[in-house]
Amino acid sequence: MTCVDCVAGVEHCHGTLVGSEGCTEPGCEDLSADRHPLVIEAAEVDSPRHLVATAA
Amino acid sequence: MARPIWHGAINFGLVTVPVDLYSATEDHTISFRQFERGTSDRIRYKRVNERTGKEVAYSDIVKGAEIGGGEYVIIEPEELDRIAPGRSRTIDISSFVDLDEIDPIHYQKTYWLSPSKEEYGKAYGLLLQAMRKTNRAGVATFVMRGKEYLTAIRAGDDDLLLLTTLLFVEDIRDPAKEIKSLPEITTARGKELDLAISLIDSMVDDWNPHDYHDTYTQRVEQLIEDKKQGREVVAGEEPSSPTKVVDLFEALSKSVESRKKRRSGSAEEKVDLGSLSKAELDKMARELDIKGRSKMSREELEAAVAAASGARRAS
Repeated sequence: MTCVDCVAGVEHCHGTLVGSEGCTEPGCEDLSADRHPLVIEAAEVDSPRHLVATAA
Repeated sequence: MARPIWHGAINFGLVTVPVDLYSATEDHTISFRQFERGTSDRIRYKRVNERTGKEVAYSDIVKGAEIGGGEYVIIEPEELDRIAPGRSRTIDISSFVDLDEIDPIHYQKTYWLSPSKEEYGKAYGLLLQAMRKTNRAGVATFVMRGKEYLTAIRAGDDDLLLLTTLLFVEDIRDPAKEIKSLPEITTARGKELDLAISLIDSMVDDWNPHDYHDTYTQRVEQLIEDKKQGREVVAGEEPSSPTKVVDLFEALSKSVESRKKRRSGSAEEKVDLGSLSKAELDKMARELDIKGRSKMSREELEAAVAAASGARRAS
């Protein structure tokens, strides 16, 4: 599926922002919520449903 | 060059100005990576399908809202657009207010608005100049990334319109519900209140953001450098103890006295201008009312401050 933000040429990140902890996109340096279409509360990471934190 | 974070148009009466929105601020705090203690293994977040355990790509993720009983409704981005057509493409100014009327508790983040094409510059400039002349801010709403923002738009110093997002009233908590014990304010005793006011008066200054720097981040950077070089890490100062109620008058008196001494001392002592930062020289230039200081380099500021303070001492 085509990303509408890519088509529109606007600044955004394809990772999921995890509260203020980090982003799933390894190279993401700017953790502003306004450039992340996908945001999840850090507390939800404890729930096994959405995200897993693993040692790389 | 930064890329805009949003494209759209400002609606001002029947005038529509296509604009791009850029972040005007950035967070410079040190971004730490996470590691498993005792290893050099980085912690990474992965988005996985809970059933298959496989990673899911950005383009395959949709949003779902929980409706109870572990059930969800899936909402596609186009469906969100359809319930408010146009809202995600326009910033609608509904009224103009005095900026001082807005309680700073509402302020969130500031962006620059620029005309999306040169041909829209005339209408953009007209709006900017009218807002500057009336000293009013336009109150507007718009939708970005599926969220509605309340905003204040004002003319900035750089001939750019600034858009500041504001919290809605419903986003602001009721302190009575959140704070365990609200302070009971008893009427302050006359002398204590007078001393506290004297202390405030002695600390009155002009607001100059260049006077304030993130010293905590500087210390974190120093800590990193020290650890990198294998140097001993020096602990910072412990915070001061809270003032006992019986000592309040004495603490206030000493504070006022200390401020007075510092002021008279700083007026008398000769300052080594060469050791001062540009921000410190700028502050002195402001106090000496040196014209054109905002465009001066550090060296020019030092020379102008030296000349002006010498002239003042001589007169």
